[in-house]
Amino acid sequence: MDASEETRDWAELPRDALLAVFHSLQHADVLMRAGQVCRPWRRAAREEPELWRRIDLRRRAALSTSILYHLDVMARTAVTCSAGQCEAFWAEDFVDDTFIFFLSHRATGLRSLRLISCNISKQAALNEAITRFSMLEELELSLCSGATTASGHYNLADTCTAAAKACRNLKCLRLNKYRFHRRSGYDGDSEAMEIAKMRGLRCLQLFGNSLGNAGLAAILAGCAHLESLDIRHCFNVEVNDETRVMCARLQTLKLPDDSMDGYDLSFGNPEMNAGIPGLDFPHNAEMNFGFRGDILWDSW
Amino acid sequence: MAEKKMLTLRTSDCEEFEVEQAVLMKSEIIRFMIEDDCADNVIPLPNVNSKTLALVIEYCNKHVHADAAETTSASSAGGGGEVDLKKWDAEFVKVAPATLFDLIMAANYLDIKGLQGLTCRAVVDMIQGKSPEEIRKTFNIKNDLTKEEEEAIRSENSWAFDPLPVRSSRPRWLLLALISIASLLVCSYLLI
Repeated sequence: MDASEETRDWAELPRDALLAVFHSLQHADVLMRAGQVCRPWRRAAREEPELWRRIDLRRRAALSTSILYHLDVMARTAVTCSAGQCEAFWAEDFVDDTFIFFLSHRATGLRSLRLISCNISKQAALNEAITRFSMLEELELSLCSGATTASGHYNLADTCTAAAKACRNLKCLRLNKYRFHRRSGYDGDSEAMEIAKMRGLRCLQLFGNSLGNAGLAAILAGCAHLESLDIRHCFNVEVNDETRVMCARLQTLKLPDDSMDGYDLSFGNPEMNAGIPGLDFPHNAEMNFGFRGDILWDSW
Repeated sequence: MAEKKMLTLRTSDCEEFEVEQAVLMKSEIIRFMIEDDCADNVIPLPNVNSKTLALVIEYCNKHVHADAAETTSASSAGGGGEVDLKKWDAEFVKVAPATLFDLIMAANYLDIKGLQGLTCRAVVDMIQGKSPEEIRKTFNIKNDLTKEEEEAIRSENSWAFDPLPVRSSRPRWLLLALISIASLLVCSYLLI
């Protein structure tokens, strides 16, 4: 290496070039690797809210196990670095009540919130947080576990009520269950009736939901702008000519028996025996016994 | 056939390069100069040395001619040219870190979007999956973090240093202890 080769000071790389590099790295790599190299790089990682406008901590396959254990800490750092400018927060597994509370106070300008396989033990905490995200355009609460109703079902009707009231700009909603349960004496349309109040909704995914034809009719009547509907594994919906006529205006429609192609979350076989609660989420039992940090779900 | 318009660029080490105007249009800065009629006979580039400018011109040449070829063969099927160009780009940035640094600086200074993206992707590939220490070695960066900053990093990112957090290991040991106590009780009961 000649003398001129040794004089390049990579620490003084122009900020915009450095940010372009950081934008292409995973957030974990920015916080734990590149952002710890030298002071200018650390400053660039910490002092540029633009870098943390979209925080995506879902792609766990690329993260080492030691990082996986403390995604919570990393997410808090990322949200803090966003300095209130975070517009999208997507996470898997680690989000709980305390994190939701933190997020609702540090990222009130969120437009997109996607939580997958999260453990919310107090739904009131989630509902209160949702009311603070008044600018939300996209909301996903998939495979979530935590406080269940008396029937053993994780019901998000109250959360839907909160979202319908607070998030006037909501255009996309995903509430996917791990598996469908058929139960007697259970009002499966409670969530659907609240979703029907989301007037601006354009895209709706309700995998494994308990809604029936009444709930579906309410959604189609209430959400006049709906363009895309996915009700795969919603086996309480009886698909008949009337259903097809109601859904004719939709651009994209996935019915209960349609193929699972393109569905990228884990799911279980439907539980068709009436009255047997079953599980709403894989490993729910382990989660209740405090093993959340120890388990890497079988879907990974 | 119309004569190609040429422009002369003078580098920081006073070398001059005569280049087709069409090729230099890849640089936003030079394009604005040409469009505003500010491009004199010789355009000085005090921030770019001759070795780097030669590479920049090579990049612009390749892309301008590839664009032209794509336009003429737009009607014909297949994207073979695009694949070839991607391969060429990948080879083009397989250079020493110092040369890559100079290319980044030149791409930034001349505002050549394609080259900015390409060089940044090359840096990303060199960083991905490496520890801070390995990154420092790769790019010959001095660790100028203070003791306080190192300590802050250590406490903030304690997960990087403790493979198993206390939070999750405690219930496991508790459970094992309970199981062993239960099995001892069962054994003693059976023996009695």
